[in-house]
Amino acid sequence: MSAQALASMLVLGVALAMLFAGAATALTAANIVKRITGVLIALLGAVLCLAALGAGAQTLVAAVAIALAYCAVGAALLVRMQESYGVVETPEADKADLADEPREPRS
Amino acid sequence: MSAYLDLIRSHAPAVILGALLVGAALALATPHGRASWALALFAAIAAAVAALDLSWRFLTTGAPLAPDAVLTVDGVGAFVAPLIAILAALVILAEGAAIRERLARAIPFAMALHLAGAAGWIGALFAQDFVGLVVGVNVGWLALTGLVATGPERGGLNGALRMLTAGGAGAAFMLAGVALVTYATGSSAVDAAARALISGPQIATLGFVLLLVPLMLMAGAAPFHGWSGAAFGRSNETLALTMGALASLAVVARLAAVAATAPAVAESVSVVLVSVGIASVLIGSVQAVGAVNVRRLIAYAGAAQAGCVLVAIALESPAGLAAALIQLSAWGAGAFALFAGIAASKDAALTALDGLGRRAPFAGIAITVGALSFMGAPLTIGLLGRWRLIEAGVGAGWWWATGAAIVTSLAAVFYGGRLIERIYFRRATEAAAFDLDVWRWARAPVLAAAIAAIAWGLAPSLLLELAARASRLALGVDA
Repeated sequence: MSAQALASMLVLGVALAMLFAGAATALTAANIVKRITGVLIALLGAVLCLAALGAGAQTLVAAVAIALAYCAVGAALLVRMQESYGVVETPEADKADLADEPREPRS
Repeated sequence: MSAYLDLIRSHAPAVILGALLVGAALALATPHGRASWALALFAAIAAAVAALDLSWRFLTTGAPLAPDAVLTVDGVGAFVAPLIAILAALVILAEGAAIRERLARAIPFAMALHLAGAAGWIGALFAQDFVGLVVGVNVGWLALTGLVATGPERGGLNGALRMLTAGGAGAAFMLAGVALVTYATGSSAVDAAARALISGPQIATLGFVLLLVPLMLMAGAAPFHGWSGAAFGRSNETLALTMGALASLAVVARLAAVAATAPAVAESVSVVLVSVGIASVLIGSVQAVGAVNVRRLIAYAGAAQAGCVLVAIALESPAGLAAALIQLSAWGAGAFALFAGIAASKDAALTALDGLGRRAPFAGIAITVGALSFMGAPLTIGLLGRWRLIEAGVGAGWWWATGAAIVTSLAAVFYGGRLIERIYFRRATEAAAFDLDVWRWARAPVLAAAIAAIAWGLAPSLLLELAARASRLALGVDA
């Protein structure tokens, strides 16, 4: 195996590790900042994966644009949630939402 | 004049996207809320007209696009694009009734997001390559996320966060899927993937699965629907979210049709679709039966409907794909009827429906008709979808697919029956809050359109014919 192929395999391994670790953080972390960071890491892992498998420049630019778009919307959401709920932990926001919902009368 | 019309028609997909995106830009730049709404509505109607014309010409005469067109049309795109464009126009029309509940400065953003979202989903259906498809899907998803976040209720922010994190992780997997499919087939073009002599079938299969699973997540199919309860239940964007779910499933159908023409990956893709489809039918049905919030009920019922659509797509046959397209139409009509009827009451709790048949008869009829369609009752479009699924399943020897249709219908009898019972057989226990603003009539065309669509089950030959033609074109049977 040539050095270049070995480097590509190494990059692919790192990319997949970033992808799975980022996705797991995005879906399970309680802290909103960690969740959004997880999304960003997963998307950067996907960009690396594309690069390691020889995707063209157009594809890489599109992938980076998607990552930036998620990052921008995530940052805006973080600020709005901090303003509205005064918290950055999702369990506390869930608790506040449950308190907002009118209780269902028994029938 | 005729030459200009021909030129526009030969670039119809670009014209549809152009109308939506230019409309979005103009709506965003218009500071007055009602003016922004009117502009957005005009753009959505223009796109719907262009999409209907394209669909009719493509499905009836097979009219080709210009050879240098930057976008492409296949059977699924031709059938679903007008459905999405019409639903987008109806969503924006219904927004007219709820517009004053939003912050004034958020209205132009909301209108622009509605149009940009529709452009994203339709763009994904028309994209020539996987990169365009993924970009379109994520534009649609982020626009939906923004819409949920800009809603009048604080809980929408929490729902939007779940959408963002689930969609972000999904986008990462989709991009990895694009990398694998491109690597295995040697091209990022969607058509090329169907024709390619695939060197690494396992890599290509994994790539297709990584593309399909996030789309099923975005469609709200169980068990990937963790975001849907919060997003549907805590925001007022049920219609836009339903439209996004339909579009996601249409993209699944498009990709499955491509996979079906590559025998090396077809079987594995089918197994994944069936597994998720059956799980979605079972989990969605159970959750819908237990729901006490009507918006969440629509979300969970949608998961069950999505399951049926996935099982139909998994058949990877013209009959199965046609059944999926009809079920998408039925789901859209049913969800719109339910939501537009429920919007007459300002409370999403199930108890708010008590006695609604006396207080708002038209809304009561809409909910009843929507519930009957979800059950698959005779003379509704819902029955057509179920019937076609059973027919296609039995034709392929998948007798158990009949079970998916029956479970979905039985569960719908429970939750739909509960809605109807509350509307007609209970008295309101407390004074319900009602919308008395004159703009509430903006919902009337949505109600009428949904009821008319469900009643399409009375004379369905045109719909069946178009769905059958679209599925054959998508699978290249008589292209």
